[in-house]
Amino acid sequence: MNCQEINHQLGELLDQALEPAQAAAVERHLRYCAECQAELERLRALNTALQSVEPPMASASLDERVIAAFRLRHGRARDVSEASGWRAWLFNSFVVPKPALALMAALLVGASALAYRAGEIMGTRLPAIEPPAQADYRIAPPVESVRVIYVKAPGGCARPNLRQTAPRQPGSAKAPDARLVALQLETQTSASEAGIDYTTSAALESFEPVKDPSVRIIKGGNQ
Amino acid sequence: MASSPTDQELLTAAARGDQAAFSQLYQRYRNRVYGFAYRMLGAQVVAEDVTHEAFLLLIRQPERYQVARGSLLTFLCAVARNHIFQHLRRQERYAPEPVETSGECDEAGAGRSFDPLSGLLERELAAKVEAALAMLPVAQREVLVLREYQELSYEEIATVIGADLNVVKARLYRARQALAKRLAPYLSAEIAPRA
Repeated sequence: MNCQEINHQLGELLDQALEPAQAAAVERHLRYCAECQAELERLRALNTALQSVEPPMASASLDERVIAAFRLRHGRARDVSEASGWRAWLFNSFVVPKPALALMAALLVGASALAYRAGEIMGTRLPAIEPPAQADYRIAPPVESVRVIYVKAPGGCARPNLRQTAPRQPGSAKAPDARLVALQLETQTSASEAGIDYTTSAALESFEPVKDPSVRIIKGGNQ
Repeated sequence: MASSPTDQELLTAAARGDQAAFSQLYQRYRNRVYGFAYRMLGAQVVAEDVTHEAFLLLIRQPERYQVARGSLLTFLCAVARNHIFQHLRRQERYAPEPVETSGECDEAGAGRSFDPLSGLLERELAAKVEAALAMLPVAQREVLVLREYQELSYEEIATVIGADLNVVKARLYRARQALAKRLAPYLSAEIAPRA
């Protein structure tokens, strides 16, 4: 075998992982090869250096976690053997398996429901709390759709359904301008969308689209 | 003289809820599993999590360990290895903890040598070794750790990593060559003069 093949087996020689015949062949080579001997010594020094590293120490909390996991798995909430006297008696009295606890909880809930229902049948249910006769609508006004028409008419035309807020000038010979006085309406609309009531206040120019389809909006001039 | 119970006997008793049996089993392999995880991950908290997960599997599913497949240590190391690689995949790279010795390590180091200078050199060497280990590729590092620190046989290492014997030998060879090269200045003083 050449030195390269021997070098590949030096680690196994140190680990005693070579077959006896292989180990013998490597050792024969080492007797006459200084370079391979030096390589073997280098590996021995490396092994010594590797062992110089202190073994890491786990914290005590690891032990607690593992033991706690074991106890949990085997249904023990705490180590009763650590308690003595009246505490041991007390803990033993209250050590209940988990399935039994779950069943007890289910029975308790079921019994409570039955008792409530039984109270209804027997007429012993507590009177329902009725709302006051007069609701405070200031807080929650009823929902209503308001039909609103806006007109903004510099140079616009009269519309039969529009109210002219600008009164006729007394003594004016000239018929009032067919143009509407520019109206600037500020109104309130109430609309509902998906059960949510909201109220918006908007000046003419900044009116937001109303979701209620019954509301018409006419904006712009010369309409 | 009564011999100590085997791993299988302790595991069977533990599966029935025998906490003393489980504790004995746990104490037998805790440091080995933790040491493997720590040297792979370089972080105490994560290594403890991995160790906890390995024993948790043993607690919940003791039937997963089959005697015919290898030793219990091999099984625990294989389970730990899975969790180690899960953690490594979540990391971009392996970053070992800063080399700061705790009080325990300092006391251990002082106990080994009364010469402060040699103690300092030993700690420096240990730090260099740990850093060199951390720089190894994961595949090489795990076979080296399992061989040098967990003292598993080549066959057991092959079982843990799920590879054949030739792969184990090749990785060990490359790992040792890489470490020897990185630690050359520190190893030259260790080499005994030729007779």
